[in-house]
Amino acid sequence: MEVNAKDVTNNVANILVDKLNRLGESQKNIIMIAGSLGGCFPKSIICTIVTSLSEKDTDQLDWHETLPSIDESIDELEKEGILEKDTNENVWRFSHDRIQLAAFELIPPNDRDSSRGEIGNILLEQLDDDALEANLFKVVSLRNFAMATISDDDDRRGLAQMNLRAGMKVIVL
Amino acid sequence: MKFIRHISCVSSLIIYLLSVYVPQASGNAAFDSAAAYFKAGRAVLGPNGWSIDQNTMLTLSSEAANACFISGHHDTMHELITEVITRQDISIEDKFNVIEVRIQAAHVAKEFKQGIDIALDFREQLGLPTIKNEPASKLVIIKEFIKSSRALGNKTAEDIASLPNLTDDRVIMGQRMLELLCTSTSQVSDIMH
Repeated sequence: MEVNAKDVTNNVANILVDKLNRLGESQKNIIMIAGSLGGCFPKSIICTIVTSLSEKDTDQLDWHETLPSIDESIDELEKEGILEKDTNENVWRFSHDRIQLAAFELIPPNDRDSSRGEIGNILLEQLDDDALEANLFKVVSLRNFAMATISDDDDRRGLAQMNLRAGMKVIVL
Repeated sequence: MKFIRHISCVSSLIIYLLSVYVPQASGNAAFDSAAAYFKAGRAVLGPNGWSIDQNTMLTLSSEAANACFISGHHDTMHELITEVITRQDISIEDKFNVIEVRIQAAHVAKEFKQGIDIALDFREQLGLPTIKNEPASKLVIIKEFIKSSRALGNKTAEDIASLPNLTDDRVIMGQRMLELLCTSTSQVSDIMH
């Protein structure tokens, strides 16, 4: 009997997607942020975002509990097979595209664009110039999701200019 | 005349290369992605973008037109070019980038006469000496040739290459139009074929 490798991979992905719903709160919080960032992400970015969210007065999710357990939670997610280490040090990735999508979909549908926008704004505020340049496409794309909510002209101008920079950069690369 | 034939051959090669490599739909992923960022930037500024930040809007629109030209999205490119050209509050110098794209697009579409009209009109709007786009007798051509030869004098190619760089943007734009005119005229002139 021939074993279809793709089907096996998909079945494993299904099992892992089910696992997401049974994760603890801290792990869920981390995985939602990671899902918003895309297929792979540096751990330092997760720390930056969680730190910033824990400092803000948000009662939607308990970020104070998440902050001290980031390392532990990511290790646990790796053991579960949800995340795996990338070849780059301190960079992690989802073990399957569908898991990343499912992680992102843990965020309520009405909050998804604003969450991505908020994460983009945090990265813009917190990253230094070099880190921001290295993550320019990611930050611009995240902020673009929430462009409809921007009412201040200076903020519009800032994001438009970031898009201009990103467009010029992608041509040069 | 050898020089003119050489220019003609080079121009034909450029047109061929442009027609082979440039207008392929979505043929260049980098320019597709760039166009998406420029489009998003315009969307962020919204319908009042020109009054919020005219410089950024102009740069986004010009770069988007160029990216759409290269990636083969010519309808969008024409919309962007028209939007910039028809704005009364933008100087002719600031319209240079989209005009250049428009002429290159005319070359790719083999609309060389249109390319000539646009380039001549642009030079005229810059206030630079511009010839009339009308048939010329051999006598006129000889007269212009003699004028050019006299202007060149005994200068060698090295002499010309070592001339100081142009610094006047208006003249630089006008010279670029002349370059583009070489491509167009070599394609429409019966004498050259």
